Amino acid sequence: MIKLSIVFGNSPNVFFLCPPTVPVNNSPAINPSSLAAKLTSNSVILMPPSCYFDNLNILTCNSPTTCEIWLVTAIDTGVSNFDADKNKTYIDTLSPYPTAFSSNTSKKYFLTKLGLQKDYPCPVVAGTDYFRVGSDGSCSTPNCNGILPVGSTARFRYVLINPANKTVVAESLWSNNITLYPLKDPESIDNGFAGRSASMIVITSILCSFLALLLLLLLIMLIYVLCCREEKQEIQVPGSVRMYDTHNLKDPSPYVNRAYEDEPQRPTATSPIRLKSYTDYDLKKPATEL
Amino acid sequence: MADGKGTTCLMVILILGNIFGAAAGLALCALAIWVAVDEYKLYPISGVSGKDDIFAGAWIAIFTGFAFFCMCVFGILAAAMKSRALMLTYLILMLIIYIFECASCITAVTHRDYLVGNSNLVKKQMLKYYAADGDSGSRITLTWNKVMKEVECCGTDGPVDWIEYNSTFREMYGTDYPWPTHCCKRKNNYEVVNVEACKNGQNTTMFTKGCFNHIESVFSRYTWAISWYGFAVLMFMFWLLILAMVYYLIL
Repeated sequence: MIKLSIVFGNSPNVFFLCPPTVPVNNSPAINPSSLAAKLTSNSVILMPPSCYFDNLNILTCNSPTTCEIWLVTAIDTGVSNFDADKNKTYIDTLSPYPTAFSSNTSKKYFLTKLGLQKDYPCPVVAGTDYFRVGSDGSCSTPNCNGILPVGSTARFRYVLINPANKTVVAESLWSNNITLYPLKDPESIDNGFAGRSASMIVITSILCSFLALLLLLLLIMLIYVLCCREEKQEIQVPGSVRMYDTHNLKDPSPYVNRAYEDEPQRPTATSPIRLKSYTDYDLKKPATEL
Repeated sequence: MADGKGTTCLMVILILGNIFGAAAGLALCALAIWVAVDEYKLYPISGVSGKDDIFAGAWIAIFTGFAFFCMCVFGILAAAMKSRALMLTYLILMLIIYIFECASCITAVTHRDYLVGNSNLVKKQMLKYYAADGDSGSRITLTWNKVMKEVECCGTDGPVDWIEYNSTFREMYGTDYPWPTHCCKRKNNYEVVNVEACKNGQNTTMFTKGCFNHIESVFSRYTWAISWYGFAVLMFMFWLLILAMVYYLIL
């Protein structure tokens, strides 16, 4: 309540002026620029109140160096709770941040200070072109910029506050419902079989079939070799018609079997012993092959 | 012999084929060593999830590649000596190595599908183990930090993974940081350029692309080395073995 005395002419008229909070036709919104964290599960990045309260003729707090801009964050019933409380003095103490969302009966709104009105000039200056709700993290002072409950739906409002008795002097409209991300459980990600790629099918099928073919062919070859192959070698009767010289005890020389003299090589598969015929069993005459 | 000239011709072809096969086997061994060494240091991503058989395939391929080399040298010997017993030994041993190499190729390509067929497994592992305690947690954290720094990426499909899902990292630091500071651009002295802007998500101060593309391409590269090159070697060896069988039959 503000008491004013205005003197008109001769008669003093006293007006008890209880200025209602001046509404401003702007409402906060999520910052449209490409900030990747503009909406998370517990914080929001809003447009700043740069041109909201500029052209007002507020009689009490009429200097941009004294008026303070505060943000009201309200969830569910907090909207109506704040609207009921907004004409009281010392509005910043009615619902401090630590107790604002603590139970079902708490007020579900809190205020946090952005700064003086002059810090948010119009037009927007770089560096003040956003405001992050929740930048103080999980804090415990009464009016800190704390994080919101996870996944909640919040509405925001910028208010101009007279620092003398912390009353709301001007206010913007309520924003639309802004829903924060509900945190998904990573266990809900299904990391089962991701599907078969074409190369896997090609490699597996071709390799398996070729392996089976190879095994089959090897088996057939082994069976053929063991059972059905005809022997192509010549019949050999090694040395049955040879004459053997008797071992001479009186002449102790290394034994040389003269039947083998004209055959310096050992018999092999490719040069088997060929049968020869000695006429009259006489080794001195040349042999003829049979 | 009855068809001496045919035998000689086949022997020459077999010897040449075995020389080529020896070279191919040695190259397979070398390539498998490259995969096993893992120059991109991404083994923990497959190891922690238990799907590390791309590397098991690589280890098998090291041994089968070298075995192919040795057997092909033996095959040259067996063909030149025109010995039936040696050729039979050659055939049976080559078949055994062939089976093992098949196993290596199929294992590697199947596990690649499990691991990087889609981004789910990598994402779930990142959310669960990044910044977690324990051996798995520290290995995953180090691997991801390295990847995010070198490839200049954040998250699996993008930074939005950190926002959408709950994670071990969020439970520890989520009130202050939406994503790890390794997602932020750094100056040459390793200092973050602008922590506040990075927390807000300004795309000039942080990396906005996902890391999955890089991880998938690395694992695919390893897998193609083991499985497709192994496949090529096996196709060649198949025809070589058919020729060797024919040679054995006419010996």
